[in-house]
Amino acid sequence: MERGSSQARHEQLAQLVTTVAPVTFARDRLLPVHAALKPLFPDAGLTRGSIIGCSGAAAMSVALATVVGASAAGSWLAVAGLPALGLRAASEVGIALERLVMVAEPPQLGETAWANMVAALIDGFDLVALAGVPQIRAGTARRLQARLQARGAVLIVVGNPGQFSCDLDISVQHPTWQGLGDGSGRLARRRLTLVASGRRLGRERRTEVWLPGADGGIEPASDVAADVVLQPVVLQPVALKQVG
Amino acid sequence: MSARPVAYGDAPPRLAVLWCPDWSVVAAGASPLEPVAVLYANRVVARTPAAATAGVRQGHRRREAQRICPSLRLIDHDPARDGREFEAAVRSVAQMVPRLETTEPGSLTFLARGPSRYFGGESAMAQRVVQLVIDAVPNVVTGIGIADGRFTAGVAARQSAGQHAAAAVPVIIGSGPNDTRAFLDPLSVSTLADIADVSGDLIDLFRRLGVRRLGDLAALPAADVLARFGRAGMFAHRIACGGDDRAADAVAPPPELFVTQAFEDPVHLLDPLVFAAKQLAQQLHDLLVANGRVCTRLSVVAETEHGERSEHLWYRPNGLSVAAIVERVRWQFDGWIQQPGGLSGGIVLIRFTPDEVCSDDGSQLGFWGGRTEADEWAARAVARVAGLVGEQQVFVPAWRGGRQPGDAYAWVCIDTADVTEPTERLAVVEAPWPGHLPAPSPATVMAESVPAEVFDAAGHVVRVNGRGVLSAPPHTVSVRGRPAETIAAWAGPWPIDERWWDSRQHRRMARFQFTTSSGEALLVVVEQQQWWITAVYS
Repeated sequence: MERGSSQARHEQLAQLVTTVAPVTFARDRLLPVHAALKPLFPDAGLTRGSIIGCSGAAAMSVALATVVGASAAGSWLAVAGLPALGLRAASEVGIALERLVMVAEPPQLGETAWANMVAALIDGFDLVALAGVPQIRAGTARRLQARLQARGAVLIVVGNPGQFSCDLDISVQHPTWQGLGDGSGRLARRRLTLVASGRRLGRERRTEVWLPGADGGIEPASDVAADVVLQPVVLQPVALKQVG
Repeated sequence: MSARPVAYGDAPPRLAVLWCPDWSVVAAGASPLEPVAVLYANRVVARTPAAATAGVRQGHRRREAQRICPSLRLIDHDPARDGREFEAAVRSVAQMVPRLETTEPGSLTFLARGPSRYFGGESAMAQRVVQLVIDAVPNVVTGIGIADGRFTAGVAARQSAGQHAAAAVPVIIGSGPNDTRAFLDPLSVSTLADIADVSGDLIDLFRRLGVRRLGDLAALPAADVLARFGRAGMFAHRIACGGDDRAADAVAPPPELFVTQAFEDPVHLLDPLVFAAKQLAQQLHDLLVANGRVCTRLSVVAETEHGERSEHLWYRPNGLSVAAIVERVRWQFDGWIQQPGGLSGGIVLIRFTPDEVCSDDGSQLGFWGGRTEADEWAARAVARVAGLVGEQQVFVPAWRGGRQPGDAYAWVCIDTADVTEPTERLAVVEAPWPGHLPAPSPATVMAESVPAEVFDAAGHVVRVNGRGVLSAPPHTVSVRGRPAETIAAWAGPWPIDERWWDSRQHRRMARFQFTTSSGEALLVVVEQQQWWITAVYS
């Protein structure tokens, strides 16, 4: 009896904590990421208001992989400055194409006009991917960053981030393609080591993935799994014995 | 909303319908002597008389049409062009008749009683209207029908246009239910699908049940039709009987219901006008939705600083959504601003007044929420970005299908697509594309292929002959302006021979996949002995 009432009190208290809690921790404001990429993010998700830089060999795939979880969960993705984005690859990796909008930047867009455009995208979209960031003043970048935090969107910068200071940089090491031989086979899948570094990260975080995997999606690549795949299957002869 | 019901009763109003068949080819400026067809979604939607003589029909597929008439010139469908060009016809008829109403470009409807009294009878009035249109638009074919109700007048107009006479003879059906029934009864039930947008499935069902003529349908008791076919069947039955085709609960909204915007600085350009129209349309939509209503007929008015005025009624039986209003406003203003001679000043006022509203049956949204808040935010942001960089610069994906990595999906401009209603544009048609490369697809597809050079171990350019045989295994690849890289692994050639029936679009090439020593994977094609990098697995 006494035990039950104390439990009820605990529950009441827990409810009270949630209602009177004065602050929202940054990690509570998260957008989901694909399970295979969770080891890269300290909070196992995309922190709203953060800037993520993708650079190196497979920047485009990595940028798509970063937003797949959130896009599939209902967030809208806007891309600007990426006219060469392969839509088929995007749909294979799991981006919801019905929530994708592309802005082709008109040539000779001034700094103010460009910043207005990015600000409008930040206002309306949870995920904004930019490439080819032009030369802008540090103040403009800071104002956009403040807007990003106020609105709670996530900015993904493909390639050189220019004046933006990224909270998290994701780079690629040891990209290795499988499936292509010397005049035979076809590109089947690629193994990557993703390395995340950033101001607030103590040390680098890394994980290995197949990106793209065999069906164009993302798959976690543990060494064990790789061994299993690469080992040839040896059929043992089975001794038959007479029954019944 | 204190709405007063319109006393429609059972007698539909006397309407005149002007109908221009194959409007799209007329709008495209095609000569009637040249075989031309306009295609939408790979089907012919309009063709010139020359093409019609050769046997091209609406609904033919591209290849079928080209087989029937090899010299056929094909034009892509452009609703904006159709709407803009139709403004010329609307303006000329508007000199004579007030309150013109357009359902789609190529079709005009107006109340016949007033003008016919003024111009000496229905026949004389109809001939004058046809003459006005013929003078205003070159090469147009047109027909006019006058009857009780929109459906009957529409059928009459199509009969008038189908006479292939130099000047269309108006088809005038006498007033009263007996004359209307006598005209409609012998017609096939498929007329309902062509003119009144009754679903093809229902027509098919009628046919299989032995109801082949409108007279057969009209002879059935109304209560039984409702019990067996529901609301859609009831609607079909009502118009087959010559009844009113408006929704039973259509009302004229109170006069204070309108939205308007005055510009302090006169506006001379189309884009800012359309941007303002979008906001107004949203306002109007919100006002109506708050009462569970939808606008089926809308009056759009614009005025310039010197008092020039463009007024137009737009009708859509299923209700005008925000996107539909904006599309129609664009047609109207585009044609008005670009008229010969132009406007003398900028536009200072636009006003939308709903002329007829009915309760919003709506379309059923998805079970799990349908539109979310994120969708609303995104739609608003898209409108804002379009205002900043121009509507032609904002794109959404649409399914196309094809063998090349860039063919499967294409970017379509948002002025022709609805951002938050992707079902139609992203409907993947599961057709086999023999020869397309399996997943994974390249993440970067070059907008324009980059020329490259591929050498063998001896330093000679690698060639592929007509049978797809390589002169030597590729060894290095050099992209314009970059040092040559060693090819670590490669596969191919995969030959592809596309659109061999069309000399201009015919492509014959062989595809390869390379990985370079730096770990990059490329999709390379060789076409006419020239190597191109078309995509990067970045």
